[in-house]
Amino acid sequence: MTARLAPWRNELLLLGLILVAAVWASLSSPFYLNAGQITYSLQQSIAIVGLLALGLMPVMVIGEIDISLPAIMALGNIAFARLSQGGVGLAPALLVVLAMTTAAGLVNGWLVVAFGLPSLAVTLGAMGAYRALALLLGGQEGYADFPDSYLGLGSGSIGPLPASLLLLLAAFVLFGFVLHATVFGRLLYTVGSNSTAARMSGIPVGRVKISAFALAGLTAGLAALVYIGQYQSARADNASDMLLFIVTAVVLGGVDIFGGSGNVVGLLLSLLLLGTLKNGMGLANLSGPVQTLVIGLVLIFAVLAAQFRTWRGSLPGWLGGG
Amino acid sequence: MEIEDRDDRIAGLTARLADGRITRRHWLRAMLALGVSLPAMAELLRQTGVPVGRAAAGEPLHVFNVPKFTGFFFFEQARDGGAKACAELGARQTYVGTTTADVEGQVQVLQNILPQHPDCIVTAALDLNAPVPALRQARRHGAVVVTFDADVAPAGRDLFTNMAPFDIQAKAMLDCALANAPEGGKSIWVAPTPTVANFISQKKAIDEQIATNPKYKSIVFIDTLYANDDPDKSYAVGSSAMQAHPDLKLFISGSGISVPAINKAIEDTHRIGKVFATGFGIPSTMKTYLEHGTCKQYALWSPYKFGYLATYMAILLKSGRVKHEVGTQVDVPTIGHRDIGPGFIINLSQMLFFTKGHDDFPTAIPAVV
Repeated sequence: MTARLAPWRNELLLLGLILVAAVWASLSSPFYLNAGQITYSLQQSIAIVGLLALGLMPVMVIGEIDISLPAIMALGNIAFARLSQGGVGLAPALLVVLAMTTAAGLVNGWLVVAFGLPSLAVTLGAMGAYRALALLLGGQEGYADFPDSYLGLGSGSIGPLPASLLLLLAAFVLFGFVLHATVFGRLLYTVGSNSTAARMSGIPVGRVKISAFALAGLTAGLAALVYIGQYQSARADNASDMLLFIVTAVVLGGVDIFGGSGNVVGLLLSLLLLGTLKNGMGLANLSGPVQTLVIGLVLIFAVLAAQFRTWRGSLPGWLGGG
Repeated sequence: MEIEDRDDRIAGLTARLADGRITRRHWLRAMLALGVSLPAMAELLRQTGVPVGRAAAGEPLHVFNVPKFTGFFFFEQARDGGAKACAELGARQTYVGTTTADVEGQVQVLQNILPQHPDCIVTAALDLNAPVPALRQARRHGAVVVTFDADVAPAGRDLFTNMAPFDIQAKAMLDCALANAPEGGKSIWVAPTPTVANFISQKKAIDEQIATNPKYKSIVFIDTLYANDDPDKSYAVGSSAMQAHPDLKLFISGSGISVPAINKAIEDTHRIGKVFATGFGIPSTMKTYLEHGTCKQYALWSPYKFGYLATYMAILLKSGRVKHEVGTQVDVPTIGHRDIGPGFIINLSQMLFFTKGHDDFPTAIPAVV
């Protein structure tokens, strides 16, 4: 491997794994290799998770974590349900929900920064709090009577391409631009690499961190609109089991859990890999336990690969060391 | 000169890429390329479409059995019953599901079934509404959808297989309650979540029975608790409820997971004979409690026959041997004469009582309610 491609090692590995997974999926089921099927399946499996993973990424880049994102999304779902019940149109409803979820992210960020608390603990508590809030706001019943305008994003298409996938792509473009080509993005990586040095350099670390959490909350609100379009229902306990998949996608995408590195291309590739695996396993009718095992092994592999990457300097040359 | 310039430009580009940074210019170029290729992708997709269609004629019908979650005796028995129906009627069955009660996971399982040309989908749903978009698409492409145990909104299925009319289920649970505690008393209803359809209907029927039938008026509900069909949660919920209400007499639940877990809580807190947990349970986990006398009686139906009936009806409907109309009469082997009732519901109506000495399926007492 040439030195020029070296920094893209992780992404190339993911690309290779996607090809392997796609080949395996085509061999294990005659139904896999069809552009329409693949797009439909990706829309269902990674549109929502992708948005949440994208939201989680800036938070992980600054060296924190937010495990309450699915709960914030569920709160968004319920908010949409109540607004729909009240006859509110899509545009004002979207603004209200985005404001709510961004505020939720802001609260998370503020708690982490103002009190110096570990973000895992804060967002663990926040997770419970937002779920409870969703339950109080929405009651215990589910809600399913959404008008077509609300459902358009999650279930509609623009031409033959699912609207939610196009949204995910657009979100990736936007996040990529923000993270890799703006000053704010640079600040995120700087704070994540060494927050003390960043503070000493005069960077407003607190404000940067809170902004990252708020951005995550905003993305969760958008994910809520996609969710109700896809499932055409909303309930306070939506997305209770989504967290593992989201964290797996982010870690597999090359985002260092200690912060400071990772890029959106890797995240997109990791989502495609996980989506392809799930699609292939589903079409092959593999049993539930086997599918869960495979995803778990993929996460372990991702963490090991990350360790290998940073550890590499001390290996002999023939193993890739330098 | 030209070659050198070009080499310099390439070297510069690769140098920028080599430090791992994506510059603004690269980003814009990449997005331009993506934007140009999107119409090409769209055109490609337009020509293929999602291959959800019918299986070729002459092939055996393909039935997909999707439980609430795998690894649970109840749904595995239903799978076996479904397999028997498939064997008898010349179809083949595939059993797929998630390992936990994961609503989004179950919907993804259903979505992965769509491209495989399902003829029938037999499922116990975790949510009234979430699977409906996927099931409606399956029905649009010719699949027959039959739900059992837990229903979806009627738009998502052709038939719902109920274990028994809800008033019969209610009477069975109440009779078990009285068999445990003849004088009745303060009771708590335990359900998995607030939206599983059959539990809502069961509670409604129980409340109606208590209001109208003098036999049951000694049973007074003071609360409803939710335990997510999880044994640990049920245990915790039962223990705290017993502490909070010292004069509590009965836990009644339609969940075969909650009932044994709460019986364990009763044993562990030494309240055998003072508090009873009953309703629906399954033999393997309730056997010890019948033996210890912690529980004197509980009810169930045969999950094997449940799966058998649901799958049998699905295949009959798909192959056109039975009309999809309210009022259609069917004769089902080992079950008997049944009919499709209003709302497209068919009832198994074979309740069983389990007591000490009659604690497995062959020896259970057919309930007369």
